[in-house]
Amino acid sequence: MVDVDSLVDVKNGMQAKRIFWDEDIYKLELEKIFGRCWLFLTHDSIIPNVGDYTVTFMGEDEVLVVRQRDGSVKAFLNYCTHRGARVVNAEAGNARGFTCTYHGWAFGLDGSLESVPFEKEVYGNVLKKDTLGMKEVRVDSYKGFWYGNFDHNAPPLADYLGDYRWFLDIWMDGTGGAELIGPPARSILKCNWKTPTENFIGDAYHVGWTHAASLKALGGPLSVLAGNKHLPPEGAGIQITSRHGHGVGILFNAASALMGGEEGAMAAKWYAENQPKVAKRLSEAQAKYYGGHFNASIFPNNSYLWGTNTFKVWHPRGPHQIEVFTWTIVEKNMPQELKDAVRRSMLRTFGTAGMLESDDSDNMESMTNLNRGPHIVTGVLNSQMGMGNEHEDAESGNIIGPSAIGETSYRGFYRAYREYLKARDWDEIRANNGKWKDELLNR
Amino acid sequence: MEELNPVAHEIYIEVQQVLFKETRMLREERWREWLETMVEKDIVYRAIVSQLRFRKDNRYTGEKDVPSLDENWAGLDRRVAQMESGMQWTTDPAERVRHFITNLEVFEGQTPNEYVIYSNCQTVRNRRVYEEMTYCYGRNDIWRRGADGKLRLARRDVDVDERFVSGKNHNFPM
Ligand code: FES
Ligand SMILES: [Fe+2]
Repeated sequence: MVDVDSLVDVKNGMQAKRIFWDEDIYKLELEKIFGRCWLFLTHDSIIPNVGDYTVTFMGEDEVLVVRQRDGSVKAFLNYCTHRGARVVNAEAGNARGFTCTYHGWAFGLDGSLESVPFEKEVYGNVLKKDTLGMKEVRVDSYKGFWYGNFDHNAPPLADYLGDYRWFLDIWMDGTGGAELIGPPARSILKCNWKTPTENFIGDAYHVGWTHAASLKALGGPLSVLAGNKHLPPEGAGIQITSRHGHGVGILFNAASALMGGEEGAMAAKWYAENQPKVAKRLSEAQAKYYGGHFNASIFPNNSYLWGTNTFKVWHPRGPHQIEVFTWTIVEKNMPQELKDAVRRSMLRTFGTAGMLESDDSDNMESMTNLNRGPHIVTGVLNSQMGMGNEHEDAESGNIIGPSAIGETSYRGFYRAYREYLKARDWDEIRANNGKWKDELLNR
Repeated sequence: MEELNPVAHEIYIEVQQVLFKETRMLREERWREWLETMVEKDIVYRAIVSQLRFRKDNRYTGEKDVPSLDENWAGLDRRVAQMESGMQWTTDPAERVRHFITNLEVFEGQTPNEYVIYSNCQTVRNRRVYEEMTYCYGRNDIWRRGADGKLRLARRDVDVDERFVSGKNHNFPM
C-alpha cells in the first residue's frame, strides 16, 4: 500500500522523490489519475471529416478517435474484441470502417461489430455481435479540443477545467479559436511524466538559466533573462493554480517570446491589434493577459506554451519513460504567413530538434534516473518559492501567485495530485470543492 | 520522376570529398566555419518524419509530413550562435557525433552549376556517459558551384526513417 500522505506536503511545498521512480506509485497513478482525469485526445482540426480518425494514448491505453456520421466524436480502445489484436495500425486517416488484421472482424465507425468472416458457418448462432463492439471511452470537448475519460462519474470536461477556463479562453477563444497544425512529432524521453508537466505548469525560474544560451542566441522579449542577468521586474507576471491542478504562468507582453526579427515584429503586431478584440469578446481583465507568454499544464499530462505555441502531451510509459506528442498551436484567424512563421519558430524552440526542448529534456531525465540510487530516492523535492504570497483571485476564482517567478502552480499541481491519489472516487473529490484552497493559502 | 544524368567521375569524387569534409567540420564543432564557407545564403534545411498512413487512404486531408527541422540561413545562424555562446551546458562536456555517408549518387542539377546528391546516412551520437544514439536517414541535397569554383549547400531534405525520435531529439547536425 502506498502511503499517499507521505508523498506530498502541501503546507510546506515538498514532495517525496519517490513519486518520480516507484513502480507502485506509478500503478496507483494509472488507476487514480489516468483512470479518472480528462486526457487530451485530439482537436477538431485533425479529424474534420466524417470517417477521419487518429490513434493516440490515454495513459498507457491505446485509443482510436473517430469522427462520426452525425459530426460527433467517439473514442474506442484500439483492440479487437475477438482475440485482442490491434484494430488500426495507421496513425491517422479516413475510413468507412475498421477491419482487424488477425481474423477480419469488421467494425463500423461507431465501433459496432458489423461483420465476422463466415459467421454462420463457424459460429452458428453463438456470437452476440451487438455486445462485441469496440470498447467505447467517454469523450467531451472544449473549444474544439477533445479529451477522453475512463470514469463515468467524472464531472463534464467544462467543470473539470472549471475556473481555469478563464485563462484558457484567452487563447482558445479570444480571437475566434485555436487549432493544432499537422500530425504530432513523437519522441521518447527517459523521464517520469510529471517532470515535464511540472516544468511547463510553473517554472519560469529555469528559463534564464537552463535556456541561457538559446535565449541569448534567439533574441525576442525573453532574451533579457539569458544567464540570469535580470530577474523579470516586479509586476512582470503571475502564476495561477486552479481547483483540479491545472496551472499557468504568464509573463506579460512577452507573447512573441522567442521570435526575433521580422517574424517577431509580425507576431507582436498581431497580438497588439487583437487585444481590443479580445477585450470585446471576453473581458478587459482577460485581454490584459492576451499578448503575454503562457507556460501551462492541464492536469495531468497536457502542457502548452502560448507565444512559443507548442502543445504537448506527455504519455507515460512506465514510471521512467514518456512518449511526447508535440504539435504547433495557432490562432485560427492568424494570416497564413504568420501561422508559418509561428510554426517555424516552434520547431526551432520546442520541436523535436528544438533548441530549448533539448535543454529541458536533459534536466528531466536526470531528475528521474538518479533515483535508482536507494539513498537518492529517499530525498525530498522543494517547491517553496513564493509560499505565503498567494491570494484568491476574485475575478477568475483561482489562486494567484503575484510574481513572474515562483512555484505556486507546482504546489497546486501536487495538491491536486495527492487529492486524486487519495480519493476513492469522484464523489469524494467533489466533497472537497469548497475547501481545496485552504492548505495552499495556509488557512 | 524525370531522368537525372549522372555526373562525370571526377565530379563524383569531388562531391564525395566535400561531403566528407563537411561531416568532419561538424564533428570538430567548426559550426561558424561550416555556415560561412559551405552553406548558401538561400539555404533550405529540412528534416521530415512521415506519419504512418494506410497505402490506399487517399481521402484523409491532413498533412503527412512531420517536420523536425525547417530552417533558413538565419535559423541556422541562431543555432550556431547557441553553440558559440559559451553557455550551452547540454554539450558540455562535448557530444561526439560521427556520420557515415553511403549510397552516394550525384546528378546534374537544374542549372549547369548545380548538383543533385542522394545519400544514405547513419549517424552515431554519444553524449554524457551512457547515451549512445543511432539515427538512420536519407539526404537529398542540392549543392551549387560558386564563382570561386567552390561547392556550397543550397538545399537539404533529410528524410528520417524512424517515426518517433528514439534518440532524445534531432538537435545535432543531420
Ligand atoms: S483478433 Fe481481431 S479478428 Fe480475431
Ligand atoms: Fe524549459
